[in-house]
Amino acid sequence: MAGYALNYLALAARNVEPVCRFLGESLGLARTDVTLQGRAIPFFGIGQSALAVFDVDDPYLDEPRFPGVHHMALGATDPAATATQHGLPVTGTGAGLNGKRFVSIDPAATVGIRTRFIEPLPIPANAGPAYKIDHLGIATNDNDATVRVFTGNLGCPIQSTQTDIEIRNVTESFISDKYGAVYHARAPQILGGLRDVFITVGDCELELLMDFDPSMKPKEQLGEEQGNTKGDQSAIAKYVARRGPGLAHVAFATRDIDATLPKLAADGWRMIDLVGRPGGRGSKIGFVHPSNFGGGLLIHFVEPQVDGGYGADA
Amino acid sequence: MSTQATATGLAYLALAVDDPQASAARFEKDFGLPRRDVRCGASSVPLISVGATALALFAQDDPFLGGNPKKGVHHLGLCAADPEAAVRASGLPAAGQLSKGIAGKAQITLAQEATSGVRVRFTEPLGLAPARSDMVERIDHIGVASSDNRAARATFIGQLGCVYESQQTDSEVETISENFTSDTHRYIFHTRPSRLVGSMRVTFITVGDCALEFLQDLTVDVSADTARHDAAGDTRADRSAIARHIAARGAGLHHLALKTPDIDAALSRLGKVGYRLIDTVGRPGSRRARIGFLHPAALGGVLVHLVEREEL
Repeated sequence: MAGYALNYLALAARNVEPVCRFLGESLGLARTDVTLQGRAIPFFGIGQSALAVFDVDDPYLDEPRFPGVHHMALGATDPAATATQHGLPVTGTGAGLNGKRFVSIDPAATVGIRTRFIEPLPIPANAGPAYKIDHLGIATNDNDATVRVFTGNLGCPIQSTQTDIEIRNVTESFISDKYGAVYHARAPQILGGLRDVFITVGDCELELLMDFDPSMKPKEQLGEEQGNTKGDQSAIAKYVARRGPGLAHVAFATRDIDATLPKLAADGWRMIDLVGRPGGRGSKIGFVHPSNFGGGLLIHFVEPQVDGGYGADA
Repeated sequence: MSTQATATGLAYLALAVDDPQASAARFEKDFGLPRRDVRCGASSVPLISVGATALALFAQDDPFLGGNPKKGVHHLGLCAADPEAAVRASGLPAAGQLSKGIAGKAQITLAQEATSGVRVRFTEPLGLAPARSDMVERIDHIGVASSDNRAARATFIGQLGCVYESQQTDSEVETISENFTSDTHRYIFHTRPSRLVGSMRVTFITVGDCALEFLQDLTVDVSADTARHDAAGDTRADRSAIARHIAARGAGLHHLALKTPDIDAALSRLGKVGYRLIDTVGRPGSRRARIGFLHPAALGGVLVHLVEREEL
């Protein structure tokens, strides 16, 4: 396969314990403890990669540290040579997890997506309601520049592109017992939208999410109602405004989202969506509330479209 | 209740404004309506003739109004040759004694809580000649923020002898759709359930040559929008204005609507001479009308809109 594959995704949590309970117990992902300078870091195998759960203050994580998706590690047998080959500046290097060598790439060279190359760590995975990472959500203000890095330079293929738009239509009616009925409709109004590009990194994609129109004001209150495109656009706009572009969420593929979401709710997890709603690439999606993990870590599920080619080989 | 007053005309409509002289000058000059100043107690009160009635302009602290009210439409002066007899005939309680009012005419006030929050007085006729201008034919209606249109009908028709004109229900329905257009995956289009974002029941009751327009907010589960005098109105905004009026002041007189033969021309003319406008062109309104609001600052704190419509 062209390009590089995700080896692990580093999650930074204010509370490590509920994240491990969510991944290990509710999703049944296989846990492997990886040694890092005498400490054990919990890894959870998922598809052909893994999720690593770090305390948000772990010094292995580059600053600035905040809860959420911290960095992605792409597999490369010689990390330093790979960075050099692609002309990517390195800000850190070492032998970390289980002694594997890695390099950290300057985020300025990857449009804010914190990326490392690492000698691949083999982490076993088993089947479960989350059978692989579907995508890594990237909040960005520049899809083209990101494509130039990951597709143009690193050779990761573009899987698809799409545009999401939410519009409001308003009809007014005046119905009188003497003057009859007057109906009129106002011009449709675009509430919000996103431009998406999906770039394949192994058995999952980077999902670049760019605000369709930055002049639209984001919605203030999020997570209190079932999600929608306006809410997604607002989340992306607010993320970029606060943190700059970068990794914003992680999505797990599941085969039956309408079974998975209620099951998680029954396990006591606070859910934003209890039934799948339309998502990217013809899928159905549903979000987990970040408050479960002390805030900042945004996870959602995806039931991929099965009749459009995508997901058929999953 | 077997008592009922006979249908009466509107002698005048009292407005509480910043500066009666300034507002009167604007009605006279910009709307082309005739003015006559009369005595009322110690004050000289401008009367602006419009249709078969008149606008009486008072300062907020004029003792005739009592209680230093907020700016806006203050009270209705209903014609009665014998005001005390009219009160008795209505079966409604009076809130005071017979006294001298505008131009020394005898008048008496009804208890506000007995008339759906609308301040009503009976007065001897003022004897003004009917008047109209190129811009204003007459008062089209007087808007009332109402919390119960059924009660208002019972009072104004059943007890004061006014005539039912029409009733309508206004609603604004919002429908949100999402489109996901992929170059690889199938096109996804879906529409969420429509939502009623504003709804009002509007009841018109004839008084004299105009109508009282009782506006009752029927909206549930949607909080009122904050005041917005900078954008063209719609049912959602109108409903929010009524809800805010009820919350802040209770039910009662809310706005004044003047009937014009050409709303776009009238709004344009007022805009050119410096009026702040909420609507710059007519938009759909009640009774198949096209309406356009002036900013309340334009006429001393009274909310006024223009109405163009065919008579049925």
